[in-house]
Amino acid sequence: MAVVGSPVSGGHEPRAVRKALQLLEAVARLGPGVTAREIADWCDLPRSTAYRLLNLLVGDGYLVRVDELAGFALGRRARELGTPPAAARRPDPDLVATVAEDLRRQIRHGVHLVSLAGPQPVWADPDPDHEVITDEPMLRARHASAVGKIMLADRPELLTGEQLARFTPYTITDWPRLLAELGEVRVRGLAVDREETIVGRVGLAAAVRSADGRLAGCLLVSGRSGRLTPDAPEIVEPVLAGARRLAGWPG
Amino acid sequence: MSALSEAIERSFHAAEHDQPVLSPHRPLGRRQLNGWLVLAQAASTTAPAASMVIFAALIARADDPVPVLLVAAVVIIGLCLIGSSLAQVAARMAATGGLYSYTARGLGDRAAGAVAAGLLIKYLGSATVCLVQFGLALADLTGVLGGPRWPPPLVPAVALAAVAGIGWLVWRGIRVATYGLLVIEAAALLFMTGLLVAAPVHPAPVELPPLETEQFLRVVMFTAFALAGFESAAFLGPETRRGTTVVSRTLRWTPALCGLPVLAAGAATLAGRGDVLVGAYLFGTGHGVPAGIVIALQLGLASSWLGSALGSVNAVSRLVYTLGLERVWPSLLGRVQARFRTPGWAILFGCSAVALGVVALGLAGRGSASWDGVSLSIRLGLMAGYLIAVVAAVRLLARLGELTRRVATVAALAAAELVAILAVVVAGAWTRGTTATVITIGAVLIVGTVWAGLVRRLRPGRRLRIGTFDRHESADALPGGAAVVRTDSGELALAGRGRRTRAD
Repeated sequence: MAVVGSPVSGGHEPRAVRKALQLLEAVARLGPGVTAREIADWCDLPRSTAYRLLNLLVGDGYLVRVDELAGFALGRRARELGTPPAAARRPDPDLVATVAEDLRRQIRHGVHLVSLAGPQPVWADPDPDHEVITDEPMLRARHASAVGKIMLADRPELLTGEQLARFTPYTITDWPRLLAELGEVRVRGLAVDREETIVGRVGLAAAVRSADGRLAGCLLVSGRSGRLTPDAPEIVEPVLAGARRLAGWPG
Repeated sequence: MSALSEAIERSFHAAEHDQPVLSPHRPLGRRQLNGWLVLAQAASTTAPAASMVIFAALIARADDPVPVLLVAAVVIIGLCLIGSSLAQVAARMAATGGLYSYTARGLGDRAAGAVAAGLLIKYLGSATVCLVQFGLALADLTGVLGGPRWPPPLVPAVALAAVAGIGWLVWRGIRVATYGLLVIEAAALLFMTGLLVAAPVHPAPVELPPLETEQFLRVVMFTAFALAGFESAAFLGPETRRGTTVVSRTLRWTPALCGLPVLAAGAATLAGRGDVLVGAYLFGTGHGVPAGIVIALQLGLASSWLGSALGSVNAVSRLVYTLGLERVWPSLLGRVQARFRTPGWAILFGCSAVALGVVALGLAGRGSASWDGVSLSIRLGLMAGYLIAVVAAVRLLARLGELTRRVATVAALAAAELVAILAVVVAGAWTRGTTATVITIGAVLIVGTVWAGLVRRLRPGRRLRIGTFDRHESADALPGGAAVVRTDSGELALAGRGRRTRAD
């Protein structure tokens, strides 16, 4: 994978840019938590120059401060200096329709494919036998719906810390409980809505990832409570398998 | 393949943190403001347009104006050194508590308590004085327009209306408030500069009243406090895009940016171009200054005072919000209203305190003992706050291992200037027989210190929250890099893998 302006290159980049890349390489090599002084010494730069550039790199998001300001780690923006791994084989466009149909035959409840590639969830392949509306609460209510929990688990920047609205008596309105559940969603790739959005309706969503590992969408199964048991293995296993078959879908 | 390349490639396959780290300032609208708006906050709080006029009048009335100009220049350079010292901390952390939070991180709770007390006196006092000045400017304006003389209660009534307007702007959102500042102050500065550069008339020469107090004392006190308020940019760090970079740059340059127009106004007056401005300010339409000029001047002054008051209320709302968030004060003050993402209760508290002050000071009147007492209190509170914060900055940098000789030298010079200014202020108070005010302010600072210690004793857990800042979140870190640990205060924070988390 190419890294723009790699420190080992012998180009004619301006000196400040080369120094900045040296500092980033130092943090990567010495590990998260390395101090400013250690970085300056490793790069053999004057300390005041190193400190100034480190602050600029933190300000621009290439580095973050850790250990109560005393150390540094690479920031998310450092990703822009590289390119993602080569895209895996994309799924056959017909595969999306095939997977959805297979699931609808197996699971006699609404099976929908939802795109999460953009800022808001969008129906990508709604079940034609089950009515959906554009402004469906099960898509909008982020902390309550299965689709919303898939999104929040993958995009923590969407967590606002504000008071959580209560849609039903079962809606989670407690931040610690929500965060714990999102942790589980992240590990399993599976989220459940137990009448938390609409009383009488339950849902199960499984994350679908694109070729470069980003969250592209989810497979959503929804139905009436009492008829659909979202935790049942005969529901969970096929949905997870379907999500795996859709890996590489761009969303 | 370099370590950086490997780390970037690993990040595409690494899992996100199970429990993400979130900034405690998340409920506020983070990362909304740009550099211009932060500069507007810092500059307008110093009321540069009004300062230009007052300094021009000071130069015109001085027995020996050249040394006055030089002393002012030296004081401004000293303020730049203070700004530079504070900028070192701002470059490393963004916090809604500004200098209070910097001090907490550098010198601990008690010192932070004293700084909080000093800053509260400064911002609440400044907002009060500026709003009464605003009312008086409008009263003078009405007089020039031929309107009736205002009865005494009308000035505080108008100022109260302004408090309500300012409170609404600040509540409505930080962007709305700072855009308001930008427009108000830019208009006032443009007009004052235009009047100095292209004086349309030459009024008749007149004998100006001499300065009331000793010249040196007067110019030092005026210059130091004319530019005080630039540090208010520090409160907006978490709400600013690239907050650490922008705020540190603003702290470093605002004293010079606001000081130069003030010096220019003085130099212009020395060169004879300030007669119109000074005449309009001191005598109104008397001595040949057209009514239109006086009206425009009073409008410019009113705008500048209003802008300064808005900046002060913005700043104090963030300080009070921080005290509430840290539970040093009632936690209600630390809540953020969901609609516009501003600290509603803290804004209400700040405006209520200012409203009370406006009524009291407005009825007492300019030049009264109360007025002088408030002015002196603002100066003492702020200078003491600056001094403690500069020392805290050095201490924090030393603890992080990032203190250089240059930074230490600049901080030492800044601290020396602050001690000198404090000595001048106290000496002036002694001369005028207002030592009681000095003692009172000293007592308030001590109360702030004691309160912080009391909070620690009564609720030990609370102490550990003091010094809250805008932490980097999991979403800011490269996946697969930093680990997540729980701090002593119970918050989640990013940490180096296998490295010991340093205690405060």
